[in-house]
Amino acid sequence: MPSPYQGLESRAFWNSAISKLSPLELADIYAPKFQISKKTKICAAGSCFAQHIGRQFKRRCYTFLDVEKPIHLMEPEFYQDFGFDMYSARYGNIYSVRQLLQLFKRANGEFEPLDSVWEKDGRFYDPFRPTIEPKGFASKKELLLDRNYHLGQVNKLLASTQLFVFTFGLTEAWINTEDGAVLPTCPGTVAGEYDRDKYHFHNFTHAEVLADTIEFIALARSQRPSMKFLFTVSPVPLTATASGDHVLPATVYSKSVLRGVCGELVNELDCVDYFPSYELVSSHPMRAMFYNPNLRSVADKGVAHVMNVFFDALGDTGSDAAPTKDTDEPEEDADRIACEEILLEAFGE
Amino acid sequence: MSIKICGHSHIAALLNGYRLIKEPAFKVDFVPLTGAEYMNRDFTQIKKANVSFTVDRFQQAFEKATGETHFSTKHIWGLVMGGYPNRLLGGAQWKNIRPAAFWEKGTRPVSLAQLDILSYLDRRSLQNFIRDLKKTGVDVFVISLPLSIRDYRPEDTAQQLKARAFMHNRARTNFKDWLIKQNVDFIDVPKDLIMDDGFMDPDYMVMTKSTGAPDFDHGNHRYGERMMQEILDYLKRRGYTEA
Repeated sequence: MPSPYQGLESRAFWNSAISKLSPLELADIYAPKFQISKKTKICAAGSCFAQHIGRQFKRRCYTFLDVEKPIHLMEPEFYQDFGFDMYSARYGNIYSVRQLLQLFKRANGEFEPLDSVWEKDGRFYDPFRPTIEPKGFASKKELLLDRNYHLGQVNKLLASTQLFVFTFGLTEAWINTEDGAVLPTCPGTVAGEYDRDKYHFHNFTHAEVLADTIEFIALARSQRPSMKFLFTVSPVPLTATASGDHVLPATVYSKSVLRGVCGELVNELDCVDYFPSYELVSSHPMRAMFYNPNLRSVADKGVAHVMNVFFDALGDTGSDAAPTKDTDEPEEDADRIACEEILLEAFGE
Repeated sequence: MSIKICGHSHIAALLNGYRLIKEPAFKVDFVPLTGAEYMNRDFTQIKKANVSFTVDRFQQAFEKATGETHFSTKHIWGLVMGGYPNRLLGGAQWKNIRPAAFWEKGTRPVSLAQLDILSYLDRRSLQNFIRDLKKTGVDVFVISLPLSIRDYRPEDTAQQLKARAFMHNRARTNFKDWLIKQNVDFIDVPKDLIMDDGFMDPDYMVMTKSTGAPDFDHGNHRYGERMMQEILDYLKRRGYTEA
């Protein structure tokens, strides 16, 4: 009986798939499980690395959903300050899948966290999007109106999404002990106040992340049963850990759990695919060449490499890439008066 | 040293108003540029320590009116530009978007911080122009454009009107604060031309000559006369004398 390894493709063997190749020439590292066309309605969320994915989809003219576009006149240089053009709505970075699940439960009215408004130096901050306005909101009313609008828009997202792209970031989180709400940052970091009786640290386990992801998939598919999911793991390490461990093993724990969950789901669910952005940047054959000197943030060339591998696998060479309409353009304003006429009147006499 | 007033279409009201003043205290020259639609991006530059226009038709109009190629330090320049956030208020988006303080059900709220960025972007190229003039030692002051007219959008609800007046006022205040920091004087619209709700008295609005329809953007000759009087008074106050 022949060995089960006999006759396998070269991509199955380390020597031929890795050792003998330049890290830039790795072939067939990603084989899409399902086709993504330019008509596929895509929604994206996740940790900061996910921003690159969303932007690339837009740039390459995919149908990228954005339910909170910048207001007309807003220039791209200010988009990021206000959380525009990052994801499919202004939810900012979503580091854990529990946070993702919570967002959509808040949007559909299933969950209302106890933390509502944080005040600091006369400005008002949303505990669940503390950096969405660079210096906080001017009033509590302004914050609440903005949040209600935001959640209303988020609630519309799932029904129109055909492909949900989520980039898993972290397993570590800060949780309100009373109601279990997950916060994107530790209270006291941007705003809010850390109170050990009120908040606690939690490092999600594999079982928890798996259960949350399955629950999210079910929630999303209750809105659109044919929805598909593309998962990735962010190659960006933890900035800091509150686990008590050294930040390196803490990072490896986080990423391993997240990668493990993705692997399990891809194997079990037809609607889930995994793209190895983590491996393409973080694995040792890449020799850390795609990181900036701090060995944490991913360099532009790393992002470009990852995105090229992804789109190449889809058969998209990017030849028809073009900037997309970024702002909520108003309709043509027909009221404006031609200015030349009045000049002519005065100076033509 | 002579007085030159430079601007786009709004300069017409000032010229017409100046013509109505009997024996004006000072002689004023007018430097009309063409329509202002290029002002959404920088339209001037510093070249060899002098400020000139980068938009050809502005530069051509400027040279035709002055016989000079750049803003000379030999003159005092009044810019009839700014004070009306044209692109900010002109967009039809305000049908569905409101500053949060004026929010109505079914509309999208916008924060004050975003509003301030939008109004800054609306006038950024003008601020850059003024900064360039100051850098090159040009004596410059700014003359307000006419304020918003209430009936500009007759279909506006009471809340929309309040929102428009608020946005206009906030953008003007931000611009005036910036001018103070730059040590640039601002000739504002006289208070008695402004109604209690913050809009300008429509009696000072011009009617379009060809159609007879109201022109909600531009002031009429009476407006121009009042503004020119303000300008001449300002020049007196600052001790200007004709050489």
